[in-house]
Amino acid sequence: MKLLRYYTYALIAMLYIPIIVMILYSFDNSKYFGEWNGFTLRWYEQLLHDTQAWSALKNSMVVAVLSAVISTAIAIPAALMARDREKDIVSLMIYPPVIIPEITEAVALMLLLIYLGFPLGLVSVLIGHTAFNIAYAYIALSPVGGAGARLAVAARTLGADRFTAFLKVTIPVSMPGIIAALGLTFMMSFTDFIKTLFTKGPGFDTLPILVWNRARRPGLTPYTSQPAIAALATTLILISITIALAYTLYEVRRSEKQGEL
Amino acid sequence: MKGVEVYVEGITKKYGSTTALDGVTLRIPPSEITTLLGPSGCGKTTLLKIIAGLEPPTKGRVYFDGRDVTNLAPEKRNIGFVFQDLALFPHLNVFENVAFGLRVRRVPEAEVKKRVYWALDLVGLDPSEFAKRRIHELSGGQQQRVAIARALVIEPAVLLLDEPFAHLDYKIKQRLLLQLKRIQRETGATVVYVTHDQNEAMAVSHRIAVMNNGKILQVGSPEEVYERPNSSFVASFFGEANVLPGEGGFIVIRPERVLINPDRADTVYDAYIEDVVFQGPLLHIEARVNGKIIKIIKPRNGMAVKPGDKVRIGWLQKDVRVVPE
Repeated sequence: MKLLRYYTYALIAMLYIPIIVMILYSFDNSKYFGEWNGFTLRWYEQLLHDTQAWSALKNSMVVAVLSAVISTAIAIPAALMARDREKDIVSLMIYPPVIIPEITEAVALMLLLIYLGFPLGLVSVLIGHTAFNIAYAYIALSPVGGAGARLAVAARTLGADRFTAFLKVTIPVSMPGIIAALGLTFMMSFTDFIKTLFTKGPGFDTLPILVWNRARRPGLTPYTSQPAIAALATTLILISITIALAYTLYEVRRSEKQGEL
Repeated sequence: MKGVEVYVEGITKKYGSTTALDGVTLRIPPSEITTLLGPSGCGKTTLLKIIAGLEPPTKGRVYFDGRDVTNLAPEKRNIGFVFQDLALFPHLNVFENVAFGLRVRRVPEAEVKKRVYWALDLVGLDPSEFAKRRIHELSGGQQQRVAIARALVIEPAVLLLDEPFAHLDYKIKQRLLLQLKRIQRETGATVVYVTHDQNEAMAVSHRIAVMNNGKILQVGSPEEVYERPNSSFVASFFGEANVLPGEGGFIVIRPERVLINPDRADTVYDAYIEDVVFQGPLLHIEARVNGKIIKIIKPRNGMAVKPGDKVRIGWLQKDVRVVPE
């Protein structure tokens, strides 16, 4: 099985080599990609004073946090309260958005927004992200949803009214799913490029949009030199990894405490 | 604690075009264990859920001590319900699981502690050892006890159990059944116990209601139902039975009432011993009579038959029960 092992190494290398090369060049003291002029942190220092990047980060955060919270809140009743037949129907309806090509979603959204005369900007991006995040939130929630509903019934036999049962049992029991839904939708939104591009107005940039804007005409300003773009993209990766790590840590702690649901 | 009398009257439950319960009327006496016994799909769990208020009946009424509770929400019925899958709260420890019903009733903290400890003691879990444990750290039998303690701690008017011991080992099951009987005696609660297992039903019940196809076929003490089954279904579902075509329907003869080489019998046949199965103190014997198998159960002492033996078997008329269907 040696062959299989080398195959796996090759596979992992293919996944990571482009990213590693990019990260390395974000420390390159040169204006262009491909010529190594020694180690530097200047691209990262430059980022600290990059008002465009900061504003894009703020926009990304605002959209991702709001979209995660809203889409999860909307998905909770569907995932936790729908039972049996209703649940089958909801599941059937909720999966297609996940498999439709993102570009068509994006175009459809843009057309609808234009048709409605909706002003393009933060709110239109937020609506676009949230609409599709509901599907992901539902999928993340549904494994715990059944248990939450079942245990709420048990709570009611013990004297809790509907609301108390939901608050004291369904929500805490579903917390792993809620956290997973929040994490997943945050990441979907934070890293989204296509939908954002089609639904954003002029002057409203998120981090991925900024990376793209700079990457398509590199070298014009210090901010758009190739290593500077690499530094910006590396920062984006760092944020994503931090969030994924925080989630993993939470999940490990929880399953140690509560066991598998 | 004094249990209530539960009376269900003309309960019909339909799911679309299928009828789960078909006009069921049953009086469940206070402070006794009544078992709903029947095969899966007979409607016993549905009836239990209707008593609990977890399902509304399509037709019919439910009364607790003469009070109509048909439209009362489950949380207002003061019941205890032990679910087949237990439905313990994984995010709470043992103490908080048991305390749940008391907390929603806003019982003062000192009283909560006293009663949770009482309930854990009652089901045989040492509070000092188990109160702080997480649910997933407990064995199946221990989880079962927590579920019962959680249902009992609120001193329910009626304790409803839906096949609570179905997934447990035989020995643990036997112990918990005895414990359930003791708890019922000590608390005086009305208990409704749902099972498909006749041995559980015999072990635990004051009264048994045998169900099939959404109907109650017979109600009585275990002895009554065993000795005087009113149909071939009840005879073969509750205990072992030989059901043979006879005058006016079928005759039922229990395996232990079949005699081998009798000195005196009202009915005698020639038979071959087909099979002899060792069951500890008892032998389960199968004898072939005119191509039909007759089941016989005899104490092992002094019984020397082996497969292939030619014997006479028979029974006394007083041991035969005639049923119409």
